[in-house]
Amino acid sequence: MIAAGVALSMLVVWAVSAWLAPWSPKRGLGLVFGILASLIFVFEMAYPYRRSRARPFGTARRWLQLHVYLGALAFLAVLIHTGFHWPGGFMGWALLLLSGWTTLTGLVGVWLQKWLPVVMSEGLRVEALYERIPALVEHLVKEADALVANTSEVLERFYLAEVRTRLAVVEPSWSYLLDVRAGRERALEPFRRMSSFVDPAEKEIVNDLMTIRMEKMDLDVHYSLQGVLRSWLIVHVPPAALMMALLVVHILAWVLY
Amino acid sequence: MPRKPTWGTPTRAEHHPPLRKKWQFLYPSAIAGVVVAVVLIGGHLLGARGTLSPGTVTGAHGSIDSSCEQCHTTGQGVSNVRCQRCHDPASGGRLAASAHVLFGSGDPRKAAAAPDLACATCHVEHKGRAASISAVPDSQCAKCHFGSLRGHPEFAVLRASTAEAPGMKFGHQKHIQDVMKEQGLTQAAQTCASCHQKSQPRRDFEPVSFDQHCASCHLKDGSVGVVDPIPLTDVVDLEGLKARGLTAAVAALKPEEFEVGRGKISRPSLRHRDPWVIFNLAKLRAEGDPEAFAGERARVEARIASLERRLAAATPFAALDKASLQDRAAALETERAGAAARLAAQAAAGDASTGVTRLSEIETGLRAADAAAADEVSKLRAAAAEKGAGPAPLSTADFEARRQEVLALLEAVEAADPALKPRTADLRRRIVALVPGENAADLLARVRDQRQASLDRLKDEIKLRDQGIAPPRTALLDAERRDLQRALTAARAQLAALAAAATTSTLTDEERQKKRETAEVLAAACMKCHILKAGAFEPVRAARPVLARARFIHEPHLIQADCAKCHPGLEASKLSKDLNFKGIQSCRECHKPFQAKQDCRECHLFHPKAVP
Amino acid sequence: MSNVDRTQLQQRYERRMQLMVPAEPDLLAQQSLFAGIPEKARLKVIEKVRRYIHLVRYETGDLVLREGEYSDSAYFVVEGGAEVVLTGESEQRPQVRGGAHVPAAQRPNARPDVAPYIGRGSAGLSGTVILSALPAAMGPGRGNLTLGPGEVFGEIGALSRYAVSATVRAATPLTVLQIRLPGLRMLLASSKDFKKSVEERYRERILARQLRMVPLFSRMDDSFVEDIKRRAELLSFEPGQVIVEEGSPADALLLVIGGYVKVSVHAGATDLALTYLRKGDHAGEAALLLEDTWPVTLQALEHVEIVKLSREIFRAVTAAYPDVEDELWEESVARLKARGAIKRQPNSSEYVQMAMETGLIHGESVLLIDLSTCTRCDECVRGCADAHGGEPRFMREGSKYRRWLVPTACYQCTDPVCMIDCPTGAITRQVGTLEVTIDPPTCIGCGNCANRCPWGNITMVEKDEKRPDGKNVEIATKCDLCLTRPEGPACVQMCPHGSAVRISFKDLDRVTSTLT
Repeated sequence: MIAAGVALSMLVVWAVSAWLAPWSPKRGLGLVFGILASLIFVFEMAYPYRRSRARPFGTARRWLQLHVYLGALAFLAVLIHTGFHWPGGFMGWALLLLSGWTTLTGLVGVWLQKWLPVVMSEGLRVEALYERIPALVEHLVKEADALVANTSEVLERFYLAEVRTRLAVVEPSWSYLLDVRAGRERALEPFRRMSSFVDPAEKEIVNDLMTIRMEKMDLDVHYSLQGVLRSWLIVHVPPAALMMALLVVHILAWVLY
Repeated sequence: MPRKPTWGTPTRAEHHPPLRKKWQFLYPSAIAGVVVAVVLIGGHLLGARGTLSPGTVTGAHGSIDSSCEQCHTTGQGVSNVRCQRCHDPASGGRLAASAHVLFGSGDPRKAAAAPDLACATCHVEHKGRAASISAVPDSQCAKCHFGSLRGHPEFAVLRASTAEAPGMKFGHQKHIQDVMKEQGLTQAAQTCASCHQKSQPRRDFEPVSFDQHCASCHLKDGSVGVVDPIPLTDVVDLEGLKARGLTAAVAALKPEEFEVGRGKISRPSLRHRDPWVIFNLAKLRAEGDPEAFAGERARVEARIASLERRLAAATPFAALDKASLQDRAAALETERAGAAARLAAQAAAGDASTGVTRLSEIETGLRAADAAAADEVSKLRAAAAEKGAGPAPLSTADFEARRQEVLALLEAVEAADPALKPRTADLRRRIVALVPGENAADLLARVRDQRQASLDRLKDEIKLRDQGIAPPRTALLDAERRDLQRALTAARAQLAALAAAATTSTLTDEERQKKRETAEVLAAACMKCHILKAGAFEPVRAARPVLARARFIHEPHLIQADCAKCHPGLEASKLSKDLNFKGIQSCRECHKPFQAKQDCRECHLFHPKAVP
Repeated sequence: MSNVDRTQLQQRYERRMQLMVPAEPDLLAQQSLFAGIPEKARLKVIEKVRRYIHLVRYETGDLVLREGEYSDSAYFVVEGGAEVVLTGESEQRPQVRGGAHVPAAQRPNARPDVAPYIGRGSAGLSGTVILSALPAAMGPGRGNLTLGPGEVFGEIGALSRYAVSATVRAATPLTVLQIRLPGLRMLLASSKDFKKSVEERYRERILARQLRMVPLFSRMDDSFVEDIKRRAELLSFEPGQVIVEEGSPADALLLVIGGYVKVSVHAGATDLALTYLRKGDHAGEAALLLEDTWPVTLQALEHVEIVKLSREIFRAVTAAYPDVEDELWEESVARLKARGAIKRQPNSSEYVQMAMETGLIHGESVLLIDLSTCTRCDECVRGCADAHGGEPRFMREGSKYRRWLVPTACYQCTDPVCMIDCPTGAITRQVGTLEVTIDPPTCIGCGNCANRCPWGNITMVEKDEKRPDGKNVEIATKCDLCLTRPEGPACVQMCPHGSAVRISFKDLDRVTSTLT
């Protein structure tokens, strides 16, 4: 709410001022907005220090909220600074595109943060640490191996041919972003089929294998989605650092010329 | 026992897997950023200027796009001296804001008080090759003036409700009726084209000229009229003209045109701009109205002097080497210091008291020679001492009159004692340089400021030379020099004509009167259309546009409307001073939002022309 | 004890461990402990029980019980003398109920604004210390008490899981029979004499003081309390046993002395868990005041000890002390509201039920992570690691309920079983505080606490020091609610999304508002 109000007032200030006099990024209000955007970007860069400097805002949560809202406002300030004109020259374009990209990926990150955890917590039973997933998969494979150890040949063959290969390696997939249960029914179908071929005594083993397979799929989903959450940083931070470097050069140019 | 599905973590680890260090990410990004910044700055310093540029410059500046230091100074942005370096190389200060104020208001005090405006405020660069930096938006003008055409006051001529005397006697009504009759036209609007002819290159009308438009009716049988007999002694005849070297005039005339008899000379036929009439008129004026003549001559001389000075100054600094630059700088510094010192002295002394002191000096000097004059001076002194805080500014007419008086006085002094010529010349120059509304202190301040501005530019030039920056092309100045040269030539011709007509004899008042009467007879034929004032013809202003401070081009308007739309009631206009124009209201009929353009720069220029 | 010699401690511990073997039946048969059992059954009982009884010898000056620690054993002196020492410091310590939390404002380095992050349960806990097995004759400044052969000590503390309130040391070379809790229970069940003697000792020495410490009875005069003391009934319940059924006539006020009791209401075909009672809580006053039936069902979740005060006693109390009745009325209204609330929002009850089933009700401050907002960024773990020198004290692993993950962070139990059997006293809880902390220099890494924790919340971590046998020294580590951190628990504070919360399951409102 507050952020919307601030954004609106910024736009009003710009509109009134641009109507009264030609807008220039180098002087007057144009410069003020440029300086405002720069200061906010510096604050944004301080976000990684939230751990050791948690005190000003109490919790890391409030720090993140400030980071997101101020980031959006900063981009608005950048747009107002340009006077809503296309920039001229290499520096202007580079800065606009980089700050736009950073803001965009930031907002995408906010959305990912809101959406992926819900999907993971509601759609999956298993919960795992990202770094441990390969070890957990190995553990599942061992468990399945033990289950199948002294069973009929049919079952063993089925296990080795159709199950173990899929079980042994972590299989991340982009389709899990769209649907957490993607491919699940297809993966479990062989088990259901198998269940009708074996004796009742071994049916339980097939059901257990199915459970293990499902858990392995849960781990795959975790690997994919948590991987997305982690690798999102690569998309957001380096362009931001680049933008700050260019910002320094931009300010230098203004000072010198 | 069936295996229960796990809710949560299948197994627990002994210890937490190693946590990713938070710096794993940030440091490489930061280092990459620093590297990029260093590369860009280094590249810029080494010559790749484009990276820091906020956009390419306009096409005309294209050759200096990469040389930032041509316009930019570290810490000072784009200072005016840099723009003036190429665009006002003659350092006339023509492009400064004060020049604009002077051009618009004619008031030098207002001009001196005008705030300094940076060129870059209105002329915004770095908007791309195709952008026009002279397309200044209205909001800049609105900073001092009104916001749009709606706020535009009525045109000055209309506000004064009369045109300045057009210098001619002319009534549209009769001419329209005659043309309608002659050509069998039914509507008045159709007659306009017979005198006002479109000029294609200028997109306007050809100036009305006698030879093209009036001669067909007014030059009957090749003559505009006659000159009644006038005393031969008053005028110079053909031989006399030859003797004075006016060969061009002589060649145009034939002896048959003159009728001489009984000590009088007359002419049965005159051509337009008859050189004999013009010369003799000038001569008679010089004899009959010496003060006015002297004043005119002084004005022309002053104009020549200022033009010469401008031409001399129109040597761009580029052409000078460093030593000359230093010399000029030293000279300017002296002049500036001198002006400043005099200004300070005057300020300290106070205008009135200076005048009083000088008057008492004069009085003392005169007392021995001419007691009556000394009394007059003492009266003046008393009057001046009374007023106290300095003289009030004079109105333009009074100013010119007084100036003429002083100039005539100077002529008389020169004539009386040629040895004083250097001093009188100096005084004349100073008096001629005065602008109406200015007093001596203002003039000194103006001189000081001009010298200061020139000095700033010189110093900047020296600094740029030291940095090794190439001087601007001299060709930029060519147009201005050409204009100056042309104006100078015309002025010199004018002066020559006046000089030829000059006379050294002093005449009594009666003789002068007679000369004046002769002049009237001489010019009788001309006075059918022209106006003779104080022995000289008034300049014909019909050739000049009505709008003094704007430019108006007829062609785009003619395409959309006919003459009667903006010039109604012409067929009823009898007087030459009738304006026959509705005023700004008729402009606003089409020049309004979402219709015709109403930007300030459609009609107005900010900067006065190089040569007024 | 920072400059303790770890090697020496290790050796003593190992020696002790060697002694922890089941006692010989012959030896046991001789003891007066078993005298109350009929001859025929005695040997059978001894066979059953001897697994849990150990003959332990102490040198003069050795520590048998340490003040402030938790014990799961009763001690029967066979030979020698045991000295009970009151250090006298207990008078200056803040007086809080065992396991309860000192209000933030009273703690040294306290930051009141941190309190919400700790999530301590309901209000209404005033400061009292319930002393366990301390004879009535003892008190500060009255000198030390020596217990001789045939005397028993420590049984109430073991049964009710209170912190040991006085140090017991061997005054002479001492031989004791250490009876661990399962054995103790068996003995109580099989020997009426033993049970009677335990009860008498309890009633004589302890009950009055415990009644006194309950706010309800604190203002009464001594004669009244003595009267109640004599007439109150002492009851024990097995795990799962229903104590009262909803709808049965209310005829008593029940005071819980030990164990956990589930409080639930009928809702259609099922029971909705409302809350739980633990030691010091009471139930039944609302029904008695209103002359109504029991509004809730009480069920024992584990071994529960209850003091039952009959209706007559209750009437006598309310007649004599009207302000007590007023307080009870207020509390009844609050509980009525809670019951109404749960009927409107049955969902929150399932969290309490889950907590009862998984044992989370034991925790005073349980860390829960909301998986629907957690981005698995590990900031909580990083914060914990930063606050503890690089090693996190918990892992984001554990069981998942609905959208909540219960990570392996210490729950700060009311009755910390991890504190039982620590040979060096490294694991302590300062009387009146919430956190159970482990003192690194004192810990010899025996792993008892880690093995005892039912949820594996204690982790053994290797240090750089080497043990005499060449292996690295190990230290037990656990969550300590970030004692030294001004902003409070790092896990809660560092989460960028506010997914980490710490709560106690006692207060249903809190559970509803935080978890649902």
